[in-house]
Amino acid sequence: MEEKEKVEKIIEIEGLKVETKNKVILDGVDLNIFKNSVNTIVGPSGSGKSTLLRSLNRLLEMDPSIDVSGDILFEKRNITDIDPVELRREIGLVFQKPNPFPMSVYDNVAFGLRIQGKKLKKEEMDGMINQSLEDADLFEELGGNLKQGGTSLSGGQQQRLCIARALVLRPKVLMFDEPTSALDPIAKGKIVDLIRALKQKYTVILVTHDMNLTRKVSDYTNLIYEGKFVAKGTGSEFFESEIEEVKDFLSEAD
Amino acid sequence: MTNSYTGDRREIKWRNLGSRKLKNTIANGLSYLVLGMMVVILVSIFIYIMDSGASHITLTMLITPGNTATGGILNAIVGTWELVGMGLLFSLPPSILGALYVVNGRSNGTLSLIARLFTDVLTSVPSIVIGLFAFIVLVQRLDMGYSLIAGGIALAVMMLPYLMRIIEISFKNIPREQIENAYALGADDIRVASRIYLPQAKVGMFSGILLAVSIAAGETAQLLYSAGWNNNYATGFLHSGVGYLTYVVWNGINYPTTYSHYLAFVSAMILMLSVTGLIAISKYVGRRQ
Ligand SMILES: Nc1ncnc2c1ncn2[C@@H]1O[C@H](COP(=O)(O)OP(=O)(O)OP(=O)(O)O)[C@@H](O)[C@H]1O
Ligand SMILES: [Mg+2]
Repeated sequence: MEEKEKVEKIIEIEGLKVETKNKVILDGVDLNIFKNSVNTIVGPSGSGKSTLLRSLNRLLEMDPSIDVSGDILFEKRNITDIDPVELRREIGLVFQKPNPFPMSVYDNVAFGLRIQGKKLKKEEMDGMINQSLEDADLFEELGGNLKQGGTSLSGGQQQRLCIARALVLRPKVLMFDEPTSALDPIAKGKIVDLIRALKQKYTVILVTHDMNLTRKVSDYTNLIYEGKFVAKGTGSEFFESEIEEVKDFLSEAD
Repeated sequence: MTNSYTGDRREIKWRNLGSRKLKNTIANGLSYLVLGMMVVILVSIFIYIMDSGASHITLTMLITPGNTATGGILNAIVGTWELVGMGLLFSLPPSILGALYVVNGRSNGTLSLIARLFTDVLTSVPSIVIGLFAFIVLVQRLDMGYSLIAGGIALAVMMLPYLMRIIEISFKNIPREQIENAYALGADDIRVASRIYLPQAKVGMFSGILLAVSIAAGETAQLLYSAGWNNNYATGFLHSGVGYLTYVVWNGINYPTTYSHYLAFVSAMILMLSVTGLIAISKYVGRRQ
């Protein structure tokens, strides 16, 4: 616990409640996200993990059938006071399913930059795009051919393209929604290395079912169960927890 | 649990298979019969009009204006496309905006529902009623006179629901995650529309436009009361009637001279060729997507 206090909180969630007319999806969530760490969220299917991520970048509120209440502070500011467009550049999200736009690799990565309306010089743009593809460990693999279509890449490559697309905006927080669920072991290994490297520069929020991945990369692990967090702890604390739900979850996951 | 469920389903399927198969055969047979009849009727109309048109067409008809009894039909050909273009101008932007609104689903369902209801009602309003409305409101009350603008708006009212529906469908074909991802990368509504919706729905929109144009080109009723007629070319957007092919068909047939009948048949042929051509292109483009 002591060690935890020293690390800066970048996001603080207090009493977050997300509900539809006939269902409570998140039921009063309290959670801190620590800077330059891998914050992992595990939990059974349907427990509200994706919903939580989508509330952090205010994507959720675009759905009129969903009601969101409670407070989310990003760097001490309530996110409802931050322009969603700006917020989403600071808190990037890599979706559960890789979904490149039907355009070239280059244009996919350039998307987020171009829509900002800032005029970037060609060399500057190229540099940022190459760097992001390198950070996402994809550049070499494509042999510098960035004109090929994003959708013609393999699943694992598409996933890393989507990571590069988020990285190019230099967000402060990067959220991954089950990045390894569709990948083979080799591609999984790459994501593990990648996440480890990323936490030097970014804060990572990782949603996953994969306990192996969690053991390897997680600094803080949180178990969500039916819309509530039932256990929180640093990597080792979590796996040794005596909490009933954690033991159940771990035994089922392994 | 799951296994016993699938088991049940399979049993039900087997039991019903016999009678379902028979019903299917009968239903299929009937639809083929109806389809066959329709094809025969359509083909005979097509051949009849093509034959009557082609045997009386002359170059002079195509390159001179006229009054449906004498002269040619160039004024009507030009006027038809001017009116249709005007109709497109008035109906395309609201159709795109309406489709974006309905598909993006940001509003609570009620407003989308109202939009849907409105377009559905619009589809079923008889064109003569739209024409009458155009006459009272546009031609008289707003003092546009018989004109391109009045005719264009009258056509637009009819084109709008078709356009909006087709555009909406091509928007809906874009994967939802792609739209969300664009927002997650910091795009605002305008950027999502211009960089995701519009480019990806291009082909669908194009075929929708062609379809709407071909429907509009064959309309008479609302134009009679809004575009009027002109023995020559329209001289402006307001207070100047416009000629169009469907008028020549209608008036030429009613006029008791052989030449006016010829003009009517030639107009009908040109209309039919353009409409089938446009629909064929729209289908071809749509399929290639
Ligand atoms: N837009 C929505 N409208 C209604 N219910 C929703 C909506 N989005 C999510 N839900 C419901 O909220 C619950 C949590 O969904 P969520 O996708 O957050 O779960 P998850 O933990 O990410 O699951 P998985 O591990 O399967 O991805 C589910 O029961 C889901 O049906
Ligand atoms: Mg999920």
